This record gives sequence, structure tokens and C-alpha cells, in this order.
Amino acid sequence: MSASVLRPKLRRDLRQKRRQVIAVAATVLIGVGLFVVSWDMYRNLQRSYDETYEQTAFADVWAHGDDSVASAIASLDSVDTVEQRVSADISMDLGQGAIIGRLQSVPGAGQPELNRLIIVDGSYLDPEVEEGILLESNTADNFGLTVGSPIELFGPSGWVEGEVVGIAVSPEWLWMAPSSEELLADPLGFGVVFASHELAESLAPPGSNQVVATVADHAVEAAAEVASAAFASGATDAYDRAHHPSDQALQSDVEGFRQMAVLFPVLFLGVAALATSVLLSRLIQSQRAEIGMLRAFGFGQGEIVRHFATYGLVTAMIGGIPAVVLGALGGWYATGAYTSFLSIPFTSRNLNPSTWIVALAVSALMGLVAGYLPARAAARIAPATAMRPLGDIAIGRHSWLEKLLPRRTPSWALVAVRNIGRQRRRSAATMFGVVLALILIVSAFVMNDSINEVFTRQFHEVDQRDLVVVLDGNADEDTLAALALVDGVAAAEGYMQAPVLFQSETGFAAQQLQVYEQGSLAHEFASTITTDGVVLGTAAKDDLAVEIGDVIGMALPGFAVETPVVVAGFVDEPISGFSYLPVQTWTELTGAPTPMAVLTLHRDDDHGSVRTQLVDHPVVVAVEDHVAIANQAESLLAASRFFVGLMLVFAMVMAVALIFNAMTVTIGERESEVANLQANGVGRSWIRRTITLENLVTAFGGIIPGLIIGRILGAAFLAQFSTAQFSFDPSITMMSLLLSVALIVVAAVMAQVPGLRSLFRLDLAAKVRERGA
Amino acid sequence: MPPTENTPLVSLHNVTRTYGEGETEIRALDGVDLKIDHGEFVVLLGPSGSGKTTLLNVIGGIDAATSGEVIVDGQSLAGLDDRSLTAFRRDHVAFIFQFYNLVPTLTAVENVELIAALTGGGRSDAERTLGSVGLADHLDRFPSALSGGQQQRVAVARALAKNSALLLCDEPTGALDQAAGKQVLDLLDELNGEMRTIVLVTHDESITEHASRVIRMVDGRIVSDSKR
Repeated sequence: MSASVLRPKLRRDLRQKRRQVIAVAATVLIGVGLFVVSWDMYRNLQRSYDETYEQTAFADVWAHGDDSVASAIASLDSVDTVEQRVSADISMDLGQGAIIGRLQSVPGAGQPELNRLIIVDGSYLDPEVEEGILLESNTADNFGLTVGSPIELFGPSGWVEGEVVGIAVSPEWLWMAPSSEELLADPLGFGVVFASHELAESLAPPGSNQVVATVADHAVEAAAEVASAAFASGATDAYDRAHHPSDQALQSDVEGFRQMAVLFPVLFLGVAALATSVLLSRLIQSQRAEIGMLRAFGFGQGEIVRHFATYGLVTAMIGGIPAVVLGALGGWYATGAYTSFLSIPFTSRNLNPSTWIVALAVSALMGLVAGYLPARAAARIAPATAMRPLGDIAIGRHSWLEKLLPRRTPSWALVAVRNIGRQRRRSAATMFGVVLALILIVSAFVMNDSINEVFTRQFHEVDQRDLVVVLDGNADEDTLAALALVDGVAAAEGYMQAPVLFQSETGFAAQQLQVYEQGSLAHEFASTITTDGVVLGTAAKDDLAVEIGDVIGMALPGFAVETPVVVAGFVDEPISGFSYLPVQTWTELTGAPTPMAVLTLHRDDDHGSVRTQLVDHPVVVAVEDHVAIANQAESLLAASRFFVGLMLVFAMVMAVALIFNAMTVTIGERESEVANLQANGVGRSWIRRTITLENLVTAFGGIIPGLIIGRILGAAFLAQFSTAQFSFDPSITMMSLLLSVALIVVAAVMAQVPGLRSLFRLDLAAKVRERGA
Repeated sequence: MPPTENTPLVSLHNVTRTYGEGETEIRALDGVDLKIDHGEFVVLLGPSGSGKTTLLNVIGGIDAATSGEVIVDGQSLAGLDDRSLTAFRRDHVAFIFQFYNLVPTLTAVENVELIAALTGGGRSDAERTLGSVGLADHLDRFPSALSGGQQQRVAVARALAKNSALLLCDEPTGALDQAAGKQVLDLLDELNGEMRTIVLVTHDESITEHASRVIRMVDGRIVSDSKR
């Protein structure tokens, strides 16, 4: 019927407006492509982790405690499997000098029931080889060790030699995080080894028993209940999967992809919808007479709506279909690259037709919705009105903006200012587009600046430890003096770090306790730590629900210390899992000075040579390099900056696409007007000035709200990445704000160039013959 | 009331059409009474702003009378909703406009086919109709590649494609030179000879030669009505 006869018109209209159509399609392509890539990655990664966890029987609950804790856990109905093992931080030498690493025990004659290992090189432990050790695969990579390499482990009877018999991937160490508070580790300052129960028990200090368990169907609530029950039965530490350091880090990435799969496409598709709507509104405006004719000849409103809504649909699908193809390929490739980077043993890269269907449906819906409103408005135009020359686009009126201009403002500026109010809806759409583009740009900057701020604050202001050394003895005056004499060391102070469990009337909080000298150079405290009590991190404050002056229980596993302490204060630090005591209090509690020292250096970049000297120092057992950890954080920042850069590129494409569309229609509808001006001798520079000024002033109208909303949404976006242990305070620098504005101005200037060019190539004779505007 | 040969094709009684309100009110039609019979060639004459185009639009159902009664081909237009008005226009009237209002992105034959399809016609009907207005060799040309006279002949063909009894022409020669204008008027004469009723709005006195009836309007009122 007649709708099919309109198809050639649709096709040719699309071809005629191809630049604008491509601009919209590019925005759809980015939005839908991002959705497919990130949603596929989210699903594939989750499946890969699930598959890995299933194949390796990854535990649901971990608890440090003895047999009574294991019995208490085993007695719960929801618990499927319970296994006991040794898990302890001990000194070890993996060929790069002594470090503190994690020793975990496994059965000598076969795989454990839970947290099974995947042997990627060599073989599993052999009961006949007493000194046989399995080395965790990331550790093997970091230290350059292979099967047959000798290593040394430090136990109560001194150094014990071992031999690497196999390299193993463990579900617990897919991400090398020593604890929830230390999601980043010094690659050459931390390692993981697996030894038989017998060997591990001979090396680990007392209180190193750990219970691991699974619950039916891996039920999250049941696992949390088991962890609580473990605490109640005397466990010094207990957590479920959600609090397991490695899984926590991996899930935070997965969650990031999920968030990205929703937030960015919403933003891009919103902009694409707006751009489509602007494009169609102006197309319809220019076709008013045609629409009036069609209506006069008997075309119904529905046919007109369908025709223009189809225009929106086709425009969206031009971007949506390639987006699905590219997104699926991107998701496939990116999942593989990501799991390979993390050495995830089981990679599940499924093609996800449901994602494609959703992506295509969303694209189609966007196109239809964007096309529907202007199409409905078009269909409602009374035929006689539609065919009347000189529509509302030619209405001129004074503008309140011109009151801000000097009395003798040149005519080109006056025209520019008045034109802004000439098509208010279109001007508003341009401003709204600028707002959306700025939201993305400012959000990207908020993320970048906040992450920079957090890392600078944590690693360069709060935490100023350069090196931490485990001593062969205690940090007495002579030892510290000897360490201070090492070339490059600025100060050596007594220090200690250990897991600690706090208990209040309302809850538990597992934290890392750090012990510093009062007035330490290695840490910035908002208020000086005092001998009045413990200073808690915000995570502990929330978990314990305590105030300053409250008394809480403190248990230090491995030191046989369980004592009440007063809450002396709180610190609000980016990594909030740390609590602090002064050395004096530590000494009083344990009866001995601290067994570690913290060193600050004259220059951070000397840490390599100082570390080398310390490894061979007679009082040093192990060295932990915090400069290396900070550097690792810096390298992760580089990845974050790449992501932010990508967002900025996308934001610029989006901004240019939207402003280009808005501005080309603005320019397009002035063709007759400009042709008449040119025919009467008005120069190109006058025309260029007035149109440029109008476009830029319109764009500026969106800048302030864009900056404000972008800042707010950036903060909301960032909040999604904050955890109990790690919090971001959103911030943006003045330079980033100025750069955001500059990017929009550049986009606005770039976007109007094609329109202006076409304006100066008009057939003046033909244009001046056209009726109306 | 069903139409018969004796009932007029168009009947207007005390029709007014106003735009705006209060001091800005414009009375485009002011109590117009008019009857047009089948087969008439009526020319509406008057100066700019006299209400002749408004009258044409009200008869064609693309504008609504503010008050009064409008009956075309036995159908009263008062109170019709949009759907019914659309159906009325599709089935009863065809338009020819001063500026052709062709779809610039459709070829000549596609422009005609577009309208022919409304009443079940197809491409062959469109081609035949274009042939009847002398454009058989210009079927696949876009409007921009046709002269003004040729474009208006496409518009005439488009109007013919619906086979409507009533042809409403708004200044159909206003944008044409004399020769092209004559070609269009000759076409309209032929159509009138085939018993199509034509109502043509113009301010060109010379066109009255083609008319069977001339109605003059001033300030929204009919001031003279003469049959020739």
C-alpha cells in the first residue's frame, strides 16, 4: 500500500542526510558496541570464574582457628565439606632474597578436597619427596622459578631447603592479594607456596590452622552465617567468598564491566536518541509542505508516523547492527585477553545471542522512540498549515541575551543572539546534547582525577613506608641504628603489621594492625597515635559501631594476645582496613619490642639498591618493598588512564556527532536566508561570524549544567567502585574542568565546519527562488 | 443524505473561518453560502487575503470551518475526526497546488504512484496517467530535473491518479510562465470535459475564460457569482 511507495523516499532521504545519519549511527555504534563488549565480558568472565571455581572446588568460607572451630563449622546443616590446613605468612627465599610469603598446606598424597590445584608444569607432591614444594604460578612468573628450582623456607628451626616439583594455579590466587587490605602486593616481596601438611606444620608458627568449607549450593547467606558461627566459636578471622581477597578483586572487575554495560550505553543511546530526534525534527520541518500534501491527499496520521519512525529505526540500525558484530568480536577477544592476562585456567567464551537480541532491540527501540515524537508532531500538523509558506522558523523576536550586549553591537552578533531563541526547542536540544557530552567527559575526568587523588593520598601522603623489614630479632635501638646506617636510608623505626580481630558488643572487624612509633615519618596521621588506645579505620568503625572512648576486645592471633583496648580515634584513609597502635602499647601488650622495622629512604628511586643491601644485612630476615607496590599501583593507574582516554575519545565522537547534527540543521534551514544575504552582497565572513557565534553561544548554554551534572554523576559512578575496604572521594581538578570546556568548544567548532562549507556552495539563483525559509 | 444528480456536489451554508482571537482575530471567511454542481468549472477570483484559498481548503477538508455547514459529495464535514477527514480527502477530493508540493526525493512516476496507491492503483496506473499529461518520457526524472510546467503537470497527474470527482486547484498557474500555464489550463479543460468538477483559485482574470462560473470574493465574502 502507500507506505511501501514511501520507501524510495525513505531511502533517498537517508542518503540525502547521510552525514547526519552517519553521525547518529556512530553514536549508536559506540553505545551499543560498548554494551555488547562489556556485557559479554561480564557474562564470559563470570562464567570463566564460576567454571574455574567449580572445577577446583573453591571454598565458600575461610576461618582461622583450631579443631573446635572446624567442629563448629562441620556441625552446621548448611555445610557440605570441611577441610583443615595450615595457612601462615612465613619468611621464604625464592631466589631474590628473603621475603614474607604465604605457606599453605595440602595433602601430601593427593589433591585437597577444596581449593584444588591445577598443575600447569611438573607434578603434584610426591610423599616420597619430603622437600617437594608446589609453587603458585604467578609467584613462579614473578620470581622466574621453574620446576626443579631450589627455594628456602624459614621455620622455628631455621632455614629449610625445598625443591619446586610443580607449578600450580590456585583458585585462591588468581589475583595476588595477601589480604583484603592488601589487594596490591610487591611482586618480588610476596609469594605463595604449597607444602604437605607435615612440612607446613613444622614450619608455621602456632595458631596457623585454617578451616575451609563449602555450603550447599554455594548459598551466599549460608556462607555468611558460617563465617559468623566461626567467629562465635573462637575463630580469629573468618570470611566468605565475597570477602576473599582474590575473589573480591576479580568480582570488583566483573561488577565494573556490568556497571559499564549499563551506564555508558544508556548515556550514548540517550545522546543518539536526542541526535535522531533533532535530525528528524529538522527533516520534518523541511518537509512540512510534503507532509501537508500527503495529508491533503488522504494519508493518515498513522502512515506519516510510521514513515518517520521508520527513518529513526533505520538510522539506529545502521549503527546497531555493526555494533553487535563488532561488539561480539570485541567481547570474545577482550575476554580471552583478560583471562589470559590473569591466567584464569578455564575461559568460557560463549557467543551470547541473547546479548545481541537485547542490543538490537535496544537500538530499534531507541530509533523508534526518537523517531516517534517528531513523527507524531508531523502527523498532527494541519495540512493547510503545513503547506502555508513561512512557518514559525522565520519568526524573529528580541532576545533577553541582547540586553547584555553593548548598545552598538554589530548586526551579525545581534542576529546570532536572536537566532538562539528562534527555534527554542532546537537550541535546547543542542544545549542538552552538550550537557550529555559533558557528562561523559566530566565523568571520565572525575574518575581519572579521583583515582589519581586516592592513589596519591594513599601511597604518597598517608602511607610513606618505603621498605618494611622483618628482623632476625627485635627492633631495639642497636638494630634500628644499624639499619639507619644503610646507604640511602633516611630513618629506621620500630614497626609491626599483623592481622587483628576486634570485637565489640555489636560485631566483629578483621583488620590489619599496623604499629608505628609516635611521630613516625612512615605514616601521616590526622591526629597523633597515642598510648590511649587503638586508632581504627572507618571500615572497623562501621562494623563495630563504636565511638571514641568505647572499649573493644582485640585478639592478635600468633601473639597470644586477647585484651580490651580503648578506641582512641579514627582515621579516614582511602584504604580503610588498617588500624593503628603505637610501638609503646605494642611492647606493653606483647612484652617485647616489634619484630619489624619500617624504613624511609632519602630518595624513592634508590629503593632497589637499598633493598639489595638489606637482603644481605645480618639483622634482616625479609624485605617488603612498598615503593614497588606503589609502582604497581601506578601501572594499574596507566590502565585506568587508558580507559579514561577511551571514554574521552568516545565522548568527543558523541559530542561532535550531536553538535554536528544540531548545527547542520541550524545551518541548513538558513539556506534561503543566507542565499538572499549573499545575493545582496553580504560577505561570507559576516555569515560565518553570525552562525559561529550562534552555535557557540548555544553550546555554552549547556556547559555549566553539564559540568555540574557530570560532576554529580561521575561521583555516583565512582561510588559503584567503592568497597568497605577501599573508598573514593570524588574530585576533579580545575585543569580537568577547563579541558572539558575546551573539548566541547573544539567539538562545536569542528562540528560546524561541514555545514558552513556547504552553505558557501549554494546555488544562489535556485535558493532565492524558493518560497519562505 | 446520499448524493443524487440533482444535489450539489459542494454545499456551504453560512460558513465562517476565523484565525486568532480578540483584537487579532482575522475573519478569513464571513458567512459564505455556496453551492457547486457536478461538472462545473468554478473560478474563485479575488485579491490577496480575500479568503479564496481558505474557502478551497475548507471545501477540501484540509482546514475546518469555525462555524456553518460544509457538505461535499453528500458528506458533512462538520465534527469529523481526523481519521474520518483523512478518509474523506482520500475518497472525494484531489488537490493541485501553486508550488506543486511534489516529493523531491521521489521521481515523477513515484510521486504519482504514491497517491494512486491510496485508492488501490499501481505503477502502471501512474505511468498511464503521466502519459495522459504528456510526460511519458519523463517518468523517472526527479522534480528538480523538470521544468515548472512539467512539475505542475506531474501534480495534475497526481491529482488525476485518485480519480476524484472534485479537483481543487490553488493558483495552479501562479508559478508558471504563460505557455506552461496554458498547457495546465488546457489539461484542466479536458478534465472538466470528462465531467470532473473543478474549483480553481486565482487572481488572474484571464483564467475566467476557461470557467463555467466565476465567483469573486472580497474580505471573506462572495461579492459576485456569475455563470458563463
